[in-house]
Amino acid sequence: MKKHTILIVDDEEMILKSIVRVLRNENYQILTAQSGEKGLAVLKDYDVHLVISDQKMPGMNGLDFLKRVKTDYPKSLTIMLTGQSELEIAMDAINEAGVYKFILKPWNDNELKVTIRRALETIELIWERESLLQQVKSRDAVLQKLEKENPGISKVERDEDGYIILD
Amino acid sequence: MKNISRSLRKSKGNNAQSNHRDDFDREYELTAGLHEQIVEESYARLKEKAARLEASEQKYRQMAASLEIELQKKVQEIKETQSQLIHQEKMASIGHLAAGVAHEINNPMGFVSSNLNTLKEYEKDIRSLVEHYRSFLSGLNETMAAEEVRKAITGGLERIIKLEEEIDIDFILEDLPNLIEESLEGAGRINKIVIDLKDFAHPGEDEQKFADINKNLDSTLNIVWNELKYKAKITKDYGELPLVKCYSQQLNQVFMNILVNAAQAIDEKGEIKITTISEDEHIKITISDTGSGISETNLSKIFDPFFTTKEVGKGTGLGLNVAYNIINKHNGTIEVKSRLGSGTTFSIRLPVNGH
Repeated sequence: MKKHTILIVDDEEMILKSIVRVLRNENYQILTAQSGEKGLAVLKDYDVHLVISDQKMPGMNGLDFLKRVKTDYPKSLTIMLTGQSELEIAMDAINEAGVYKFILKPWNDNELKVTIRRALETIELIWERESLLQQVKSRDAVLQKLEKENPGISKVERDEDGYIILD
Repeated sequence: MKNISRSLRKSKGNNAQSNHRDDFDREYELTAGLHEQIVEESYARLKEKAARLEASEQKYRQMAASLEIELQKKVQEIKETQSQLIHQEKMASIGHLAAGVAHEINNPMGFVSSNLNTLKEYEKDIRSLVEHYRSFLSGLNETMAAEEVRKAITGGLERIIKLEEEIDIDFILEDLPNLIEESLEGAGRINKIVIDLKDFAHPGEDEQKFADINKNLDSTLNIVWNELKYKAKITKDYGELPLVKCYSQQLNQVFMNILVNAAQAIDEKGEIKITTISEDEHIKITISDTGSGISETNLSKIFDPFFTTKEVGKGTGLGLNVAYNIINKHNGTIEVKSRLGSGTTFSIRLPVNGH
């Protein structure tokens, strides 16, 4: 399986370090940023599969950051990891920023690992479906082009014994 | 009455004629009788009136007494409601505080417990490496031939190097002191929050004590730090203050209400300035912000109970009312100046000896 890229955003450096430790043996490319603004800059330079963000940060808050991610990078999945348990924030995260998961601090390391794996599997499925759809579309285009140039070429005719009729 | 006057007139008219004396006597008697009757009648009426008056006075006295009792009851009720209000407001602000404090605690709690989990993993790796070293050592002994020793060393070293790479021991050894240092710092942060909370709340403080108001301001600042840190630059200009006899925790509640309001008035980024100064047997605390300010119509109402401009559920409308009552209780004054768009300043003046 190819190496996935994860971006973690939190204004608290020690949170970033502890999560990097948790994911040490998971074979991901891990990027970190200490603000939403810096996170957006990272997203410009890397293909990021999964974005994990804190809510309360100086400058842009996590909700606004994840909303931006959703509109600018719709192929990425997002997770909110926050110490704020207010229902309102969770609702906004789900309804407005369309997060994949809402996780409370302090988190459970194993749950976090499993959640990240699931998220990446989900992304993998979505991306695979996209590429398959793309393949089907391009093959379809080739066939249509052939049919246009040589009408009937994309159809196979058989006689009553099942033999293919060649003109 | 008409009858009497008529008879009197008659009697005057007949006075000149002495031969009518008998008539006069008779008339006089009649008049006197009449008079007596009238006096008696009015006396009875007066008596009756007096009795009625007395009865009604009695009634009024009773009413006054019961009114007095009623009044006492109402005063007591109002007092109770007021202390209940203060309590309620305190609870609401504690709830508000708890959410902020929870966030402040959950962050260090998050990385400290995660780090400890990682430490557990490191420990497993280090232990297995040590076990490898030990079995390597016990595999060597003096009676072995040189060839055997060389073989054992080569084999053992290979296994050890492989395991070292597998667990990435260099990384673990490099990271261990950082992990411990960061976790200790996190634990220290949690500890500080708890101490601040205790300083802030002082449960069951019913009597006045001498307090250093600068310290009160600092411990309150720490508690609401979560609310302020992203929005406001805090400037402190503390003067040297005498100890002030006060209900220290209640004053903290006042400071917290004003500081939280100040932070909420600031939209993006602003400044909160706290000044303290000592002036003839009083101290003066000024808290000003560069927030959105308060309109003139609202400014006259801000100390009223239940007056709030915040969304439903965001404010009780009691914060500043309670602040006002608490400062009043200290025989101090609280004043507010504000201009829409440029900010608000609260000034509190407190007597040093509590009177």
